[in-house]
Amino acid sequence: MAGQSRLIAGCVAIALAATTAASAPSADPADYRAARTAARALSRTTQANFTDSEAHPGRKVFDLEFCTERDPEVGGATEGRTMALEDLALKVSEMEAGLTRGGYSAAVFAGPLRLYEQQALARIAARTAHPRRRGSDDPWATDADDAAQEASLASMGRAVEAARARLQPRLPPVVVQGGCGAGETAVLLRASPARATVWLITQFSFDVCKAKGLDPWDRGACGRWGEVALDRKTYLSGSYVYQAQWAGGVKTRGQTSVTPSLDDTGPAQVVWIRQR
Amino acid sequence: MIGDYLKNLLKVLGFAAAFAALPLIAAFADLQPPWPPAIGYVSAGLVMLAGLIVWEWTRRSKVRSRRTWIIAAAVLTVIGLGSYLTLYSLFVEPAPGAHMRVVRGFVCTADAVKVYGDACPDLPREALAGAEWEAVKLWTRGSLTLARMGLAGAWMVFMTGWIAALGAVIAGRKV
Repeated sequence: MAGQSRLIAGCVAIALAATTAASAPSADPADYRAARTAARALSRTTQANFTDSEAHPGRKVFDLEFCTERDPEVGGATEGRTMALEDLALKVSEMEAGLTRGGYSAAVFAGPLRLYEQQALARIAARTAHPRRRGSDDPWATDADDAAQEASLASMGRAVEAARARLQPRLPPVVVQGGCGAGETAVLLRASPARATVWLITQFSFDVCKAKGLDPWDRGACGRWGEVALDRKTYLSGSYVYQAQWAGGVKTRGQTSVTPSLDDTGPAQVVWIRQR
Repeated sequence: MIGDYLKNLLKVLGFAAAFAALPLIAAFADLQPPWPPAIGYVSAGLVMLAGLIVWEWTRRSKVRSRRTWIIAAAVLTVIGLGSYLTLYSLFVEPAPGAHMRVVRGFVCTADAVKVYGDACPDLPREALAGAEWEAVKLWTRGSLTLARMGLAGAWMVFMTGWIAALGAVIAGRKV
């Protein structure tokens, strides 16, 4: 209960900080700093993102590309600069918390992570000065922004890995691997009524928790649940179990499935989570 | 004069035959194993290598020797194709709605044993869908590697045999 309150308070803090700043005429990163403070609080429960290496089967790596996304907005922005700042704050905080939890020292990742953060802030500032592309899936960011972000993330991954090999050679390599399933399809999760908090788990992970005698609906006991961002592209493939909660405590549970696709150019599938 | 005309005609027919074979090669591309990702290039390299080797050995050999090559290559083709189709049927699972195929394994992971018990390792398609179509969540990496290597190996035996048979038939023929 206390954890839930902290989560909501954190989300509200991010949303308020970023919304206030969005209405301000200047691109002062003070709003980002506020969002980062709140995001740090949210990322306290982030786990070390250790996974199997795709390049070297049987080897464990730390993947900087986290598969789960937190929903930063209990009443926050759904597009534009505010959302970009929230996303960045959460992404950086998640990587920072995950690496720390994995045992990596700040000397390994702090510098490259800071550079990545600064580059992203510069892109956000540039996009704020020249907004465009109305009517697309993401009316604010451009493909060039996405490509630049990917390149920046890859560059950070290489820098962190070089430092890790030098300073902490016994820890698993740090990579940017990504990919949370085969044939992942772009999906927009939407809640009706809006502003719900939604958690997802694969059907298999749900069944594993059940088989282990754990309550599969208990997100604490069955730690494989991930909170997902609503109204943003999430990449999914296969069968999932979800639970959602709205303000006032109304909850719903259910199953959904996403048909895998290798075509990433089409519109995102929309999956509705409705109150029952 | 007539000899030149016939030679040119044969060249044209040769080109036509090469073009006619293109759909066949394309069909093979659909049939090729889902792993490794660059199997198309590996196959192309193998085709070239097998073709060149057979050409080198058989272009000046006697008819009898070439026939031995042809028979050996044909046997290799049949064995390779038979093994490949069997392994394909056992281990390859097409995913719905995507031009994507997943290779299954034959030893379940500890988690999969907990969930599916006696059904292991012959898990239903729903199990793959529930695991985001990631076979590595359901089957051990060792069994997946062996299944993939088996598929790729049988495919290469088939391709080598096929090209060797074709090469041995064509090589040595006077045009």
